[in-house]
Amino acid sequence: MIASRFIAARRTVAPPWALVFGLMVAAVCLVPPVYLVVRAGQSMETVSEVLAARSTLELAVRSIALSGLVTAFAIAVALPLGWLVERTDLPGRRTLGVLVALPLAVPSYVGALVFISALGPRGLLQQALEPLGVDRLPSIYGWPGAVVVLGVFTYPYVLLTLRPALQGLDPRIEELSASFGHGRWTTFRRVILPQLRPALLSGGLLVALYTLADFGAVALLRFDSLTRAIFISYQASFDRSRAAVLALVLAAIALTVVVLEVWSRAGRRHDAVRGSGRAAARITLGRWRWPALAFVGLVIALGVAMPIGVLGYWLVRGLAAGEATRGIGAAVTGSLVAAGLAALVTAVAALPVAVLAVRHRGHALSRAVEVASYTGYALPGLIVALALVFVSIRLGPLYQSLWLLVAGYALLFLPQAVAATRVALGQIRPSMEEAARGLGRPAWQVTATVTVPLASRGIAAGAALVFLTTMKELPATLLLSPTGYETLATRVWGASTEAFFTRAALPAIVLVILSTLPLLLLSPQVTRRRWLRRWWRA
Amino acid sequence: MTRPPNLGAEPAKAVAANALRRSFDGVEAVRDLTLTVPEGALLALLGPSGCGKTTSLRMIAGFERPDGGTLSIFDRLVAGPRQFLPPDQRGVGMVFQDYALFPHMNVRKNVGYGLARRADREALIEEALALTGLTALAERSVHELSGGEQQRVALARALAPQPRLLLLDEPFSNLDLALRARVRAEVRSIVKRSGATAILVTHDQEEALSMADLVAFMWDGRIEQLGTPDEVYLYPSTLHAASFIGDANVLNLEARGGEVRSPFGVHEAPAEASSVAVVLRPEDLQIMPGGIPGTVVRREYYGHDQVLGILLHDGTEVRARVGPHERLTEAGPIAVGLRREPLVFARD
Repeated sequence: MIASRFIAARRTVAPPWALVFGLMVAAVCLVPPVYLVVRAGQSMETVSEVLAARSTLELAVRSIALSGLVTAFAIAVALPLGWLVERTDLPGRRTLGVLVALPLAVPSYVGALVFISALGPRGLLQQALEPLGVDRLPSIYGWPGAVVVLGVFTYPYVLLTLRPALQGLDPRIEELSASFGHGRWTTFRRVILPQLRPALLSGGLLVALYTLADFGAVALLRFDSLTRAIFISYQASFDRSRAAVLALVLAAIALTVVVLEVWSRAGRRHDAVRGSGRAAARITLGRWRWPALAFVGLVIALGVAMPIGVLGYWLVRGLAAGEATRGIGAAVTGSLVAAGLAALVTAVAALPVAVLAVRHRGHALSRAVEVASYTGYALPGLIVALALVFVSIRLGPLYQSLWLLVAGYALLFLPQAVAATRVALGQIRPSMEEAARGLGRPAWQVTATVTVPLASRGIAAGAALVFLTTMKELPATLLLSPTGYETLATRVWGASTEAFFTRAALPAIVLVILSTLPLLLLSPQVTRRRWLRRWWRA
Repeated sequence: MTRPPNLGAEPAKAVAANALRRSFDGVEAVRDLTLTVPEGALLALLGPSGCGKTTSLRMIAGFERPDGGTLSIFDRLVAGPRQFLPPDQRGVGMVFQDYALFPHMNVRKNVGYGLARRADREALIEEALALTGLTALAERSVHELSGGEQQRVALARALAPQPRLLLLDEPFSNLDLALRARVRAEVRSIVKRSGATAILVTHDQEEALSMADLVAFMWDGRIEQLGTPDEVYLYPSTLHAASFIGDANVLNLEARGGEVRSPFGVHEAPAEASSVAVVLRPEDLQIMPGGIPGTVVRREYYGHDQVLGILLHDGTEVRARVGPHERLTEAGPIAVGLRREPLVFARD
């Protein structure tokens, strides 16, 4: 057994096909970051002008502050939730445990739409309260709305990393602490929390990155963030340098967060395997279970019940008015075609990257290809799309074509497909491929006849995940879609910016249902399969 | 599938390795592989784990690129300075330790995998299946096969393209002990009937001695001895070979003037050596009235023979393998002598 692990770690000769295609994929991935840097270098005047402007600094601070507040909110929600579900005798914890993961299925712009139509001016709540004489509600726009909406729909990222950590806690350490006479609070603060810190950090940084990159929710909630400013200056002005420079600022912030995230994960590897002899005894809540249930209920009400209720309400109203289904056919077709092509292209592009990363880790070029493939993970979708627009305008025929949109999707979601393919490839013993080589087949034939068939499930699962994520994607879709091309996401967006909630309801519901499918796979029994969790993180 | 035996005086060289080297992250796995395998032979590459034998085999197969040295297979240079023939162009068959059967193919497709472009594909598959006794299992999925059957599929797959050279990497380590002896004989007979030259990597000395025509003993990245099984067993050329291949009593003693004194007398020692190892095979000791007196301290009775632990009067403890008929009791007195002169190696 030791021998076979040794072989797996060996560095062998990288197949030329994988290197050639891997470098091609890497080259495409590097277009946005390289473009941004080159562009900034060309128009140094604008750069210094924009950077010096007070408004730029303000935007950056607001984006960072929002990101920090949302992260704090998400942790403040996820930590007690996870603890209640995993470590206490909360009634109905199994069902609740599945429900609290569901807000992840609601794209942020759909979440914002739901909140605005429910709690905004002239929203459902106000209409309901009007007879009671309430004619004004606290404003949903700006800070409070952005923090709450993004927090409610992103806390599951923290929960996802936190729950395995809570399950893995060694009960003996807690018992030891109690035997020293420490109370529960001290034990929690000094013994449990330090063990959970890596998981909180890792999940929290994901939330921070998501918030920085988010465009839909902040735009709908009229929160002036970098993404919103970039989008507005891109749409408004003829000189798009300002948009490019702001994109560079956002990219720098996002990269910092990515570096922190990678670094936090690297540190975690050591304590990932923690053998606990038995499951910890669940803590008896006693009379505290009612406030606990109320808390969990509130989170589920905001994150799950409200989206379902509000979208359902608008759907029924829209159906009654005959407005709900108008033009939906084109949007569904548009989404399916774009997402289908994106899934296909991404899965194909991920293969050489994954082959190099799994089989030829030692190779310097493999490393370079792998790093380049993370562009879509590190850079917000808006920035990637912006760069592709600028580059393709100069290249001519690609601009305003469906292929540019597909390329954007592929670039953004390549890391997901690579992660899934990597895991699948990692499960194929190297001797299998060597045997095929030894039987006279060149490397590319071995990939086609042995590697791909054996990894097909993982590759297909990665493609499916890209498909579903693509359906929900908003900013790149807005920027890269050919004029007149409609998808479910653009339809939701278009209707909600004009507050035509009845028109937005049906596509929004379809999107939410589609995103729930992979989440059902993520229910507790399945989350133990690490590769599934990793997709979400990728 | 049988080829006419080579009737020339000098058999062709199936493999000629000269000073092959390979290291991994600065650790030298193979320091100097210099080895010639004559055509038609079944050679066992024997050595402890980590001695570099698997890396050697992988260099011959083309899965590892040597850092230095040259390698020819049937007089064709396949690895050398600025020269490297990839594995798919070497025409070498390989059987892996884990068999590496393709789980998404049935037995027939596995066996036919190496014959993609051959016109006589079907005939070659049938021939390989017949040779390995798998004809009846051809349509089975490889999951449905026993360990021994899977191994024969791996062998059939490697032999189907009729390679002139077959490599086997620890092919029996995944079989349980009861099966091994039978499968070894079976594999040897299949390989011999195929006419291929074969190299078998193993750390099991019994396997190497019983199956191979030639044994190459490898230690710390080098071939220490190459010979027939009886040569390497009876006349090991190094202390490593003597103590790894077969059971041995190793007495560490001081030598002086090319002589060393053991409880059994004075033996010739390498000149210049001051510290030597005197190696006695347990079967070289025999019960001998008037021999060196001692006490039986342990007795393991195996049926076909028995192994005695004997404490000699000077405090040395040795093991002796004697026939099953000797009625002995633990703690009883005994006298032993030598059947042949012991082997003496310098220890420095």
